[in-house]
Amino acid sequence: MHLADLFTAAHDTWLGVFARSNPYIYTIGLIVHFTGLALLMGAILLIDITLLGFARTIPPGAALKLLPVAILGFVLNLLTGVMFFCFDPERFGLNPAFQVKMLLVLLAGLNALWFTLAEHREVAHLPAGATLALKVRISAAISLTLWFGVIVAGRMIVAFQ
Amino acid sequence: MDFVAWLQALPLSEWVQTSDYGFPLLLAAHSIGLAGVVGMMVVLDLRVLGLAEGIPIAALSRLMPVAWWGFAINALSGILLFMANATRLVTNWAFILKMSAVVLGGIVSWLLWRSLTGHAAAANGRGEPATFTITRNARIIAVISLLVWFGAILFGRVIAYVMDHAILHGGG
Repeated sequence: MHLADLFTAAHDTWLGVFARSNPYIYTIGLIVHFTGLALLMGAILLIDITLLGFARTIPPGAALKLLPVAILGFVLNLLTGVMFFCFDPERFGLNPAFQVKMLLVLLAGLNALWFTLAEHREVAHLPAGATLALKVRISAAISLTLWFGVIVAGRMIVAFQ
Repeated sequence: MDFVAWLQALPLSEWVQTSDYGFPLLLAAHSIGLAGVVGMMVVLDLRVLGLAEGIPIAALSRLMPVAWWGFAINALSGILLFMANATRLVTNWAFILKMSAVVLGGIVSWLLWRSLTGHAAAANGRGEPATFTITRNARIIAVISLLVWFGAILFGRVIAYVMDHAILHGGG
């Protein structure tokens, strides 16, 4: 299957048809996408600042209670993002800023997956002010860098059209 | 009107308008600031409403510089974005509503902290209130805060469409 076939398939999905059916749908999608950004980044900021050791009065487990907020923001952005892609797959798929953005999202997801599988259980039981393992702090720094990179890459999509 | 025309004619405004990367980079900065201000305010509001109760409000109070930095980034990038399209933005209803939402958001945040600190009567040696209490009023203000910041995002997104009537372009 060629890339062009994939683009055509995405274009012809019900989601693509839906996105193009009314000019307001894309606009509403973008409003949801930026609301998702605020939810995801708010939770990520607080969690990663705590895991970096910059908020020594917050128990890591309490900060991690914000994960559902981050996941809600991510799901909103995934759904609207897939819709934007299906709206015009070629315009996004061939855009270098979009490709970089998707790569950064993938890396951020893998980083979050590693933390969830390897560290979450242990870190969640640490008291406030406990020294966090270097690998946990590095993972938090990587997370912040990647998610802010996602924002920048997303905003650069229009510059490469 | 003369002032906004003068503002838009400045070399800096023209650079933002005509350079390939000026506008997208400013929008990127504006979105980073959004993450800082709205992100932190949403976390505070949700905490007041009962989520993640193990996070001390005092700790969030100490992290408010993150929100202030976000606000500063957005004030600066916002001014530059405004300069590039000043003459059209002053009559743009979405822009006016967004600015109103941002001002309202600031007032609501101030009211929320005032409510949480019990009118800031008790302060310890480090200039921070010793205790924070979440009253019914604080919860109501937190809900209003969430709505107002959502409004700022909503009207912010609509500005470009009002300006260009570009809804059909699906532009970002």
